[in-house]
Amino acid sequence: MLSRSITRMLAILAISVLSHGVSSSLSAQEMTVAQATQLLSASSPDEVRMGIETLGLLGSPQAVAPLSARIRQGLPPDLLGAAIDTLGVLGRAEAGPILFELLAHRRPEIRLRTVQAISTCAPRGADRALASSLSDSSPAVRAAAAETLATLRATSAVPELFLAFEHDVLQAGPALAALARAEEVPRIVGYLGRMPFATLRPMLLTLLQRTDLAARIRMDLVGRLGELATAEVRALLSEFIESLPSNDNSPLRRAAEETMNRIAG
Amino acid sequence: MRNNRMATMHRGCAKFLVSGAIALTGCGGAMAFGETFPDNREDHLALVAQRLDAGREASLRAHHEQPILVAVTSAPMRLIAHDLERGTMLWETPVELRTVPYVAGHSVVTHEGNEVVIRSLTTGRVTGRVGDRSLNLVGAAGEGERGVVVLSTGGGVSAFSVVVGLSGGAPTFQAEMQQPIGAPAVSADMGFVPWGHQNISAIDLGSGGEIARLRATQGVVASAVVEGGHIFFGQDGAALLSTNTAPAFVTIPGEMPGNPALLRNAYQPPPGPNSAQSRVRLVTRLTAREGAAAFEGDAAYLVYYRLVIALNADGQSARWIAQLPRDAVGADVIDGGLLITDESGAVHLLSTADGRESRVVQLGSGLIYATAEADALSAGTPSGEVLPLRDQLLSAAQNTDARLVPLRELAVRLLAALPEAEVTGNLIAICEEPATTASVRREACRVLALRRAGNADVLQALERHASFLRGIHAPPVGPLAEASLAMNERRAVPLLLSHLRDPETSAADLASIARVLGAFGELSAAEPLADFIRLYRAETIEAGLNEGLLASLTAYRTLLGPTSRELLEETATDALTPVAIRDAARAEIVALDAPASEPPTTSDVTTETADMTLTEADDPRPETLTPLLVNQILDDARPQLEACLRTPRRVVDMVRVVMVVGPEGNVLMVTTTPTEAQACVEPIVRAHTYPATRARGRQSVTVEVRR
Repeated sequence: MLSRSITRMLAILAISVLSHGVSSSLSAQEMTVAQATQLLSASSPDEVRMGIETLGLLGSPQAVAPLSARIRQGLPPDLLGAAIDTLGVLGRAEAGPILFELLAHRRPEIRLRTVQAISTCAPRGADRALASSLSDSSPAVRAAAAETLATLRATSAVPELFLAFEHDVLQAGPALAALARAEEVPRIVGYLGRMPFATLRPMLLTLLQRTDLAARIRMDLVGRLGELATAEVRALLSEFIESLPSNDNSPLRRAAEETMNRIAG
Repeated sequence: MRNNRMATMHRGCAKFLVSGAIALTGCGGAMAFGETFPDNREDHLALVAQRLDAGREASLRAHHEQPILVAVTSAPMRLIAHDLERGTMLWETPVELRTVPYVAGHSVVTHEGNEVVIRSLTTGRVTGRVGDRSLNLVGAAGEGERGVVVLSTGGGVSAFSVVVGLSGGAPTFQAEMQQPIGAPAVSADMGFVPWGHQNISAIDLGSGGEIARLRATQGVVASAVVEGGHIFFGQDGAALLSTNTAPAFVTIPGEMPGNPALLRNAYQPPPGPNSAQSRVRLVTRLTAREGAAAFEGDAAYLVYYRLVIALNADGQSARWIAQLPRDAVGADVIDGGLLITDESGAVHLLSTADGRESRVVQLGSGLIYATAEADALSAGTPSGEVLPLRDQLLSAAQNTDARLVPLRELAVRLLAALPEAEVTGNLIAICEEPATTASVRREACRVLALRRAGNADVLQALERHASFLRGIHAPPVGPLAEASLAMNERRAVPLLLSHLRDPETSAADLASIARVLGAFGELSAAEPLADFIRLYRAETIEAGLNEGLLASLTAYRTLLGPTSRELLEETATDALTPVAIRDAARAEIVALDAPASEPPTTSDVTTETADMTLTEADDPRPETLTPLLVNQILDDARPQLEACLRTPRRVVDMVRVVMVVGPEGNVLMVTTTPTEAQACVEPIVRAHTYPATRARGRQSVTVEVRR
């Protein structure tokens, strides 16, 4: 997600610099943070945009404060979106306060962009803020919050992620599989038979592949999957086995192979 | 005098009786409803009053005879009569009724085919038939053996009506009139016939001659009824017939679901036996009190399909609500209580005190209409539990029967009229429940905003914020905000600020929040309002946000006064902010610059004159020019002002007009938001004259022009 945002920003900046460079006395690359900040106060939306984009291009941590202040002064929708994207591109934790404020912006599109910016800025307190966003009225914001919590490895948000998953925020599933502690794995396994296997499949694969989980936990999971003995389970175990190094001869691999072989093909 | 051409009275029409039938054509005789008959003659009215007084005992006895219910069944249609005391059927007969049947003393009068049929109330035997001359049977009434029947074209131009006298169930005389005639009443051998919307004539049923005529201009006169030997008449209101030639009409104030009249509008086409009018009606018993009409027990009963609400005579508060198992098709106030007949054939006698059932008689037939003469019916002991009125009203407000929506709205209003603090919680629940019918919810929200009790419920609701994961919906913040203001509950301020920042707060509620924050005057609200204004002033996407921003600007100016100028000017000059918001900020600056009027003191307005001392109360000038006053003054120009909403560049939903007016009513300045409307609005506003006020200086007034 981060690389996609940066690519988009660079493309925007390239176009912007080309279009504005003709009329401006300085090109974006030649400006200082102070000069770009001055543009933020312009009455022309184009100049404000150029200021925002220049601050992004300059990449200085000093750009966060003027961008935050400009956002708080009120921006039209397109410029507000650009400012948030720029904060995301800057990726500075100092952007936390303004980003947390924007998580309560009235427009869900802004909240979504903010969540995405938080994923690159990783400010302190992001886990709590994003856990709250799991209760956002917008499904897109909830989904992005769940994904970002996984990206940020926000284990403190696991209880909220469980709640979200049980309220059909399916993006909370992969996050749970990635973040759940050993004692929380049974709760995920408990979803077998209660939720569609297709929904649970990537979570189960992640759990099987997590080497930070004790082998006993994962052996138990294989055993539970063996009880189901469906073609879907067989395909999942096959994929898991294929993902293991060829020289892996662990008990987990052997258990997975035995279970798979027991299930009729 | 009246415009009643061809007013004729035919005596001795019995000569046209053929096998008990009478044809109403060609019956000659003396004049009645004469053009020259004087109205409002106190001596005539005194004579009538004398006869009513003398006949009162007999009248009361006549209405306390065997309690009989006359009803109409659905397919196959039959007319039936039941002895209610014994619970036995007296008679039944197949009929094809065109209108509801009328009990007229010892007779039952119906309109069948082209005839009016008169039957004995106790036996069902046909005692007379009258050709209808293509007229509607408007009504019939009687007392003992005497009665009258009214046939009419109904109201309007070329109206034509006939009154037929009855004696012993047979026609005696007829009178014609080129006016609409309403529903009659009979007492003390006199017929009382409303006509021409304003008149009621007393006719001697022995001679058929008119003996008194009252023209009442204070109310519409469409029906007459007899209660306790007194004659009442009217339509939306009811008046007592006495020697008073300008009688007062009593009414049940307030809008009722279905708009049932107090007394039937008998100038309209008469209701059929299956008419909804049988299921939606206002039932009262009138009584004479201090020479005027009054409601017995100061109560009225609104029957609405399956629900019956006992209302206080003020129309604004309830006593009880009864829910019937089936729709009501008949309702009468009798001595023993409120007699309700439902469509299943069950007759319920309800206590007028608490709505409990004191007696039920099962007639066992599917009914479409019922009417009773049952004052003699004895009431049993009311049984069952009496729920608190709040629970009764709440239950009615939450009834899921789709036909009851208007009554549910009334139940919400009546609920809100209760002083108990708990009502506020009930109203919040209805207001915020998405499954509730929209109009009921709107009404609950409207009355919630006016609550003055139940602070704890308001605060508790405001503490709640929407949460998807916890299944919590946003509370109805706008009405709650208004309620907190009505309660002067300042603890709501931080909660409202929290909702101002919450994206789940409906845009429609933002204006209320801002208005209330401004009205509370808590300075702690200023900075959050400023944050809100700054963050959203350049927003152009969310519908309804502008209203919240405009109200926030006003609230901010109200809270900070001159200190608000910086943000207002910043907003007014911010090139990225939409024109409407910039204009609104400018208008606030104008308001800021207009000096507030100082409230006059008594000493300021007290003037010594030669023979009197004028006090503030004597000063006819309004204290200030209010938006309400300005709106009233501009009312005649509303179409032109609304045309100003269409500016050369765009069409706007609303124009805010800020006027700066001097104490003499002189308009000093007019500004509009948006400014494009200024050229159109200003000349209209200036063309009007505004009153001088008691204000000591200039004042600014803001009014809104909306589509």
